[in-house]
Amino acid sequence: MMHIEHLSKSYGAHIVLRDISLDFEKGKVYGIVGENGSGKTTLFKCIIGIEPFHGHIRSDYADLKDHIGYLPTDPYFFSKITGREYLRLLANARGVVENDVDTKNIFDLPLDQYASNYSTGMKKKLAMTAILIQQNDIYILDEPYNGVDIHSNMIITEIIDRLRNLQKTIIISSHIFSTLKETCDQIHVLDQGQITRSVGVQN
Amino acid sequence: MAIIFSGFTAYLFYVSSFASYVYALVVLGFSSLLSEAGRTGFLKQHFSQQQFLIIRCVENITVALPFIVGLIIYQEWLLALGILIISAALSYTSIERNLNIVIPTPFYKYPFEFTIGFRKNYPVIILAGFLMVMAVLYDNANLGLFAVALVLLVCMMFYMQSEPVYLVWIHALSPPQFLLNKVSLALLYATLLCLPFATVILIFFMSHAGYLAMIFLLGILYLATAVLGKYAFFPAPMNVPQGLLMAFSFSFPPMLLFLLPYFYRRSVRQLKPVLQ
Repeated sequence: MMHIEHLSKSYGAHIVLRDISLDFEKGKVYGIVGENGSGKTTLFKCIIGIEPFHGHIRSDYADLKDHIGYLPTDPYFFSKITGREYLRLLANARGVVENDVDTKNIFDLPLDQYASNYSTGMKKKLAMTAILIQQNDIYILDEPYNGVDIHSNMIITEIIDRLRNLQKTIIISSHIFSTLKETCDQIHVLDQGQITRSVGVQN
Repeated sequence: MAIIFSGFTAYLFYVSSFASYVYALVVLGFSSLLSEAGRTGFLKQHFSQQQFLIIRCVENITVALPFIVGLIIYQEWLLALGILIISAALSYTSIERNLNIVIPTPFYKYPFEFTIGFRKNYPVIILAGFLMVMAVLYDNANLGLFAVALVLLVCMMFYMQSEPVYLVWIHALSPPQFLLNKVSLALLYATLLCLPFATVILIFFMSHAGYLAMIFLLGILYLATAVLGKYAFFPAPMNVPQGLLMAFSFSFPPMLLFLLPYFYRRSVRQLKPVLQ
């Protein structure tokens, strides 16, 4: 469904990712685990196409980027834009007509307040809701559990399970192995820019 | 900048006896921008409460200073003193933030530049409305036309801030489609914002319809240039040479014939790595 072949990335002489090859199938949840600075976010940015890299990414989609929902580690919100307007912005961007965002407000966020005034966890939940509304086929979630309360963690895990059942591909990153163990079908360990180990958790 | 400001002052005091009040509203508008939640939050995180208050006070008074000098030159002593005191006082509070108000906007359906820009600059739009009322009351068509120009200028300001790459990447559009979408939305929303002002001019100063059409046409051309200019160096924000080119085009509008295609070509090139 999506195949990464010999992906490498460097900033000048500093090599961030070395010769990474990974396969991602439909209806599976993949974890990328690695310590801070191991290259998880850079790998995601290469996959979604906002960082140039060496290597190839092949997929079933001619326009792969438009089928990916990406949750950044630290979602950015302009001041003076409400949660509702942010959801509308992301839906419009993908041509999704969404007139009733209240029914999609799974985290019960105060959508009519400025998103920039939200707490860190609320911002993450808003960004998560936005990519769910986009109805993507591939979800790349960079540290989705970070800064989010326990109840919301459970909701996120449930959402991931439902997405898997809908035959979506989900890729999650974390710097803690145990966080991903419950959720993922396969976990790849990223260490100093290289995949050093792959573990099939539920097999 | 000093020349433009002096020219603006001279013009304002020439066309209206209410120029001093216009001045006061502009200062309040700028002070409101400086008390924006993100930047005050940043300052509060990095400085002590005392340092924060001093910084904000210096900022507000620095912004107000040229206006205060203008008022002193035109012998509006009391208002000059009033603006000085209000500017200092406003550094200690943000009415909007304290009351947790979300400013309603007609531009909510297709966020984001006009949605954010309207909320950040509504005092200037109110000021334009005030100028229009004055224009009708004192039968001053030039003041009314100036209000329309002011609204269009504010719309251009909405596009001065560059967005993070992510907010461009999310669009399922090619670079030309993306730019067409942005420009057409900007023109539609600017037209909507100008409509009440234009209607008043057509009702009360019908003989100036030609000037209105000229200002509006030029305004939307500059607006389209501002939109394309925003992406011409994306993801970097507008740089100094680009700003100078834009500024020069104000004194020499035929420059737009060069600037529009130049910014368009550059924008397509800059957006390609993100959108394709």
